[in-house]
Amino acid sequence: MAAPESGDGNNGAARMVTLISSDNTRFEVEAAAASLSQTLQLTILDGGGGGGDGIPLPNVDSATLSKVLEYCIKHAPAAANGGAPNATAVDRAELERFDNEFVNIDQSVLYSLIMAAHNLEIEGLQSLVAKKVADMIKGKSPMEIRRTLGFPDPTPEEQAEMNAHMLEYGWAYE
Amino acid sequence: MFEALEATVPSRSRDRLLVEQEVLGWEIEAALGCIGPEARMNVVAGYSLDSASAIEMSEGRTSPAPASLPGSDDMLGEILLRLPPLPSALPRASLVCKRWRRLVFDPQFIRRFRARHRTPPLLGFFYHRTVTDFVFVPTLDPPDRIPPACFSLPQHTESRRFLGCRLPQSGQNGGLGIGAGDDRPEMLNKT
Repeated sequence: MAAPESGDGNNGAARMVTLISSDNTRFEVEAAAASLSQTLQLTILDGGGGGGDGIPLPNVDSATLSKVLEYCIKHAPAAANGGAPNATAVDRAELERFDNEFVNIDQSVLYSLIMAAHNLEIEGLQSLVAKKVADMIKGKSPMEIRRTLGFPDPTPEEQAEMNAHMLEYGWAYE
Repeated sequence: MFEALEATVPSRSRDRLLVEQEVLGWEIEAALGCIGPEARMNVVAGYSLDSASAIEMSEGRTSPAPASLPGSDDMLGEILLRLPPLPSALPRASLVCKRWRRLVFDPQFIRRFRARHRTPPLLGFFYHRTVTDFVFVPTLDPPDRIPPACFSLPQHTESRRFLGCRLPQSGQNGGLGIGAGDDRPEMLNKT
């Protein structure tokens, strides 16, 4: 299966590692990009993932991993610069544009990314998806939040409890 | 906010005191910090709920549900931390379900929320209408608008001056304390 992008930039000697998704798809990616994952970083530092070996990721399917790696590849150069203190405004704007576009996705994909970012401990991605969900629910009522996030309808007991809480906010109905 | 607390946390609970101290204390300090010493306005902060919510609740409509939000409390916390520091944000989240309520009132979460949002919005100010009369004027739009009646002081016959906004000491019940009066501080107890 095709890796989302190979290390064909101007550094032809970049070290590559192979990641194997839960459905046995192999992704070859620059070590620097994969190392955005705290979980993978140690293995990679120890020399793992190279050659024919590959690092198995039993919790991440190929569709999700492909998306995760898209993020890592885009963010790796800035991360290599230690948060890119000397990045230009254009670079930062471009990353921001990428991020906004990146999370403009189906909710089921977003949910998979939440889990993957957590399991792989990719800090920037965790933050990005958390922000996306927060943006989805901000300004919404409790019931709208439940619907937005796919909660089942409240049971009669839950509903009664919520209504009782609501009624306490007398002045808020003015 | 006090109503929110009444609604969700037993009034004597330790968590509630923490919420009052951490969230409200922070907002009051921060809000007061933005005005000059000579300004005859005093600023107050708090949280509210919107009126549309209860109506929404009773409708109980269903819609095609996507797979439910996954993840641990930690991950949920990361999401809720990123809500804007508006008066309605956390109370609304706290009414989503029991788990969210528990998380929103977790002292550690509140500390983190406070640390993250260092510049809370200005909720309103006290207007010294006459020498005997203070009125609270909210500055935010609904659902973040705090009704004036919530914070306005009862009218008095003698002249008064505004001393500031304080929170009750740990262990005391009650809400926002406002010192007003010539010789003795007076407490506005939120109901």
